[in-house]
Amino acid sequence: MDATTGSTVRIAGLVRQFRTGPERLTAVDDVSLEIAAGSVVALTGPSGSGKSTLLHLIGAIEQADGGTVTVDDLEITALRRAALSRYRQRVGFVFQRYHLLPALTVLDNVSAPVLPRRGRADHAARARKLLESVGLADRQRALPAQLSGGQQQRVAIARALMGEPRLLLADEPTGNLDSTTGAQILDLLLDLRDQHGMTILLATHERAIAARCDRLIRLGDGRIVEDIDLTDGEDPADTYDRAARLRL
Amino acid sequence: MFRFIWGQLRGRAGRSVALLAGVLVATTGFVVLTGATTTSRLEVTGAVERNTRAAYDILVRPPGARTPLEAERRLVRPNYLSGLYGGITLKQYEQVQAVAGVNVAAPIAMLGYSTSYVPVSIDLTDAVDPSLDRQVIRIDPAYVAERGLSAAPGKPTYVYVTRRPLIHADFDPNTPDSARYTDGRVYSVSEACGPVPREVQPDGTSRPVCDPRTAVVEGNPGWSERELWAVVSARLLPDGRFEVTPGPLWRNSPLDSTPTTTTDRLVLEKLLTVPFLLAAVDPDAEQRLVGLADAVVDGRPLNPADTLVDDTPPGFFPQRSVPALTTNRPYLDGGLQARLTRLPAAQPAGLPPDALEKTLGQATGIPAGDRQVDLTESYQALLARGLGADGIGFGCCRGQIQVLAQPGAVDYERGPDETLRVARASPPDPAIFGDRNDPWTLPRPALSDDFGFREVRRLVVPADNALHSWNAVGVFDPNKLTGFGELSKVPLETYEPPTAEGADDPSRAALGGQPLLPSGNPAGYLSAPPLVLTTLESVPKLLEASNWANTRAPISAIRVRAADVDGYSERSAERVRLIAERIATETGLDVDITLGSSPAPQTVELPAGSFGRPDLRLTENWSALGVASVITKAVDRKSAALFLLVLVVCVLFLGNAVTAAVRDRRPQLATLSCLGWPARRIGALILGEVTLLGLAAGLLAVGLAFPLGAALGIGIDWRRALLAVPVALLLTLVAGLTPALRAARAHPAAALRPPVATARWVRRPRTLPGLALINLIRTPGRTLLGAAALAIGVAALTLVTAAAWAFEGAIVGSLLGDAVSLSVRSADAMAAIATVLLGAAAVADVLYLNIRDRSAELATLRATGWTDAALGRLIGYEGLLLGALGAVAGAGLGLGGAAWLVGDLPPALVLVAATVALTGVLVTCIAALVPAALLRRLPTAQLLAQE
Repeated sequence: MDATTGSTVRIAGLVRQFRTGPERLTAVDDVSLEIAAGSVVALTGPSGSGKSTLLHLIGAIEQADGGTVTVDDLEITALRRAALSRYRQRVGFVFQRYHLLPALTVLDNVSAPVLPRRGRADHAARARKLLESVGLADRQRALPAQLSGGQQQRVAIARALMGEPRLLLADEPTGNLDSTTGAQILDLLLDLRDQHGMTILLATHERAIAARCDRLIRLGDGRIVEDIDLTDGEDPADTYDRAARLRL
Repeated sequence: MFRFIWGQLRGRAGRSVALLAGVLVATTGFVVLTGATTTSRLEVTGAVERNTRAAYDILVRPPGARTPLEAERRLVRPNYLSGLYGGITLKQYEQVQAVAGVNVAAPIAMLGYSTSYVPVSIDLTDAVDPSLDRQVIRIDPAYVAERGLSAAPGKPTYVYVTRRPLIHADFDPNTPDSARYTDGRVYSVSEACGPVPREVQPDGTSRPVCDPRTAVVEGNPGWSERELWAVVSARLLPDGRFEVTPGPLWRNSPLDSTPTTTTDRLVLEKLLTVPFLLAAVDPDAEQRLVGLADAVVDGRPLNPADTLVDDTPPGFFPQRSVPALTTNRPYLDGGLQARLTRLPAAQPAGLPPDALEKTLGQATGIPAGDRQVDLTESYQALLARGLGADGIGFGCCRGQIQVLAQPGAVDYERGPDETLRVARASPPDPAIFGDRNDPWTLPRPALSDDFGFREVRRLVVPADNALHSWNAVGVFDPNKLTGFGELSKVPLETYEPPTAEGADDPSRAALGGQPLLPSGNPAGYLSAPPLVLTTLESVPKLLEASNWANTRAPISAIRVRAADVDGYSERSAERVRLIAERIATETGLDVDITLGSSPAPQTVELPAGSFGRPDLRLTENWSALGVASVITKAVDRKSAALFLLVLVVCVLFLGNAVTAAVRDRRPQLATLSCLGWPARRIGALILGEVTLLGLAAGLLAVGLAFPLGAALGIGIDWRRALLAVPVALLLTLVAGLTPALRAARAHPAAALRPPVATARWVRRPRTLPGLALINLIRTPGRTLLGAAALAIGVAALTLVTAAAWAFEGAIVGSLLGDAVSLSVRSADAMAAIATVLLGAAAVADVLYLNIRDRSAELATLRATGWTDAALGRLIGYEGLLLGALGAVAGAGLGLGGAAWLVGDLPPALVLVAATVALTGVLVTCIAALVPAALLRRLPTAQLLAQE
């Protein structure tokens, strides 16, 4: 594992099914792929294509029905509950709806992942530093309800980084934001990747966002229907042309 | 509408079942717990009724008979008759009889202590050395009482045992200076020696064996049985048998011409003076009150017409007697200890009277054993001889009534801790029990020389040269008298002695763990009950010429039983109260209602006696009046309070469940509102749903209440079980009304707000408990509801404990109160514990609802790496804080209520409240495990993906 470039993710034959009444819905159907350390990968596809489920399986908040997920050298599909919790401490998660704790201040929300652990002073200092890095140093004492959607997502990103993750999973991180704010959030994520060295997987259906990633994986009915390497030397800033080309 | 409601319930089956379960728990809990409080009340009132069945319901005493102490403490002292010698006239007695509602009015006239002889046998055979020609056996007596603590030493009796022949006088009072002896000769009789037996010497002469009892001058120095000494003679025959004068020592007197007899064993019969309290009763009334005639075990019952009779034997000195019933249980504690010493060199024959005591007292002796004689056994042996006394001390049973000792009441000094210290009385006149110069009075009892606690008066019946006595015509067994219930009896029983138990370890050790009984000293602290009964009819004739001031008002007390009263109840209490009021109004006498009374232990300090009894600290049962009323009222109050608490807990529990159910449906209700449903229709929908669930839960509760009640030992009849249906409907309607109204009035946009609000103020959680506190504050209504439910449970348990405490305080620790409060504890404690459990369940419900409403937050925390243990700890802390809030508030409420109930806040009660609160917290924490366990089943991914 390269400490500066984030985690490597290997997925082999991954299956996840849901029971909806008498029927079974296969959300992830025999997916296999490998994600290089330090890359930013966009998962795209229509609603119900399995983007979020795949992220949840990699983030170990959902259990696979088959196949394996190996992050660095850790096969997380074989872990027990306690080990899974430890694993999740090393993974950052960003959600579309932010899921901030409404009763806690911005600073406390960022610290929340490490609240049960000792060393509160270090945690607070780190949380402040992370808030600075997401541009919210002046809103530490605000409550989530007092922030805009973009600010809330920044807090959620800072919270995701609290555990010093090498893998950041973002489920539609810009889905609730306007395009400008969404672009800013992606800028932030890419900056942070550069600063902290992380592998980033983000599910999105926004072409402009996906076009700025290193790799694009399109899902359909739980299967990978397209896997495109975007590191082709084109200017990533020309996202609209690129997106159009990629039929995003 | 109904179909819509039914569709709603079916569509949200999980929530409906949860709500149904909540209503079911609350309703079943209500039915069973109120059943428990009712059972408890019935048990208590049953116990009160059973144990307050009284021999009499009203005690009427002369004006002023009630002491200030009795009035202040609402008590009647034990031996309420002691010190009461008349004061009620026959006319007043008739007035009492004439009061409407009086079933029996039984008068009792205390006359005083009569003294009687009880012979005790001391076997000397083994003390005699058959090898000796002549010897004296010295018997040193000690009159023992009070469990052996008091031992009054007395002067010795000397038994002269000689192998030489003895001749006896045939005394003729007409020739007092001489007497003819059994050898046919006439010998002169000196005043100092008397007509005593003479020992025949080997040379044919004879020498008198002087006996101080027969000396006209310089005989016995006093008139206490302790001061009496005697010299008795017996001949040891060559075959080892003894030639003696049969009968008691007294009879071994030359005044009798009883021939000698030969026996195998040398048994000295010594007469002890025993005081018996003599009282006069109306035999008919006493039969109706306590069944006196039915308790006669020998002879005949008294007849109302029995009166003073002249029963002088032909040619004998004049005798008059009153017929009497005597007891077969004398309640005498003690007897005689005799130390035997053989004086081999002592030869009293021929010794001059003035040298006799000194010579025998100085003679060298050899210990010859000890003898113990029990007075009760001796008395019962006397009874066994059969009725038909031919003189005092010569059969069963007769006692002198020339002089009657009338001890007064005891005075108490009150200690700072409410202990009663018995005050010593001035020493009585030694002649109070009789005058030595009166030939018919008896020596005073040995123990009457001890310190006294009662002033003793002397009632003299003019002798007129005649012997006045009571003569037993029958024997009654006090145990066969019908009396009081087990928990209300002793102090008010007329014919049972008071007992006093040691109140501290030294006193208990001194008494050998046994109760102290009357000592036989009429001026002693514990007074014996009247054990010799004569008729009221005898009294005027007997006492007409006496020095008694109350000849015209001889009755000491009247015990009244009201008609149609059998045990305590509200109705009978009122009935008795009216009768008592009428008696008091019409006679002006002191009237106490004894119905519903119970022994109330009082601590008494008894100063040391002069014969070895140390200072004693005693617990004595007095009668607390009105105990049954206090208990019944307290139980009614307590039952009502518990009933109310159970109801409130159930409503809180249910209110929480219904509110949560409604809140859960806010988006749906908002949709209906947007679709144009009017507010009242939405309200009706909610109420319809909860009513339907309430009905179902009520019907289920009917079925559950019976087996649950049976399992818990709580009697639940079908009426109470059926009550579950309306109770469930009422509870759900009351609990559902507020949320239904709120739901109906709410703006549709309200549904968009998060189910759990943010905190109203910003506070940084530094720790898990801090975060738990913030979470509780976010739902203040729910938190308070859960805490209140637990608080009420804890308060109920604290109050039940306090109620038991209050009983002890309120009724001065009466035996009935103690017994009842024990039963209260078990039944009510069960109800209160169940209320605590229901409160804990309410807390668990609150935690569960919190988890449900904050599930997305919890899922987020899990997604960010929180372990299940950390999430569990968070919920645990919420439970702990909620439990602590409820328990502390409940303990505080309970203590406040207890302080109001008891009028004090003893440290022990605070300790109890703290323990109950701690238990409440523990139970809550355990209850919190259930919702905490549900955390593992949180669908984290699903929650986080939700829009």
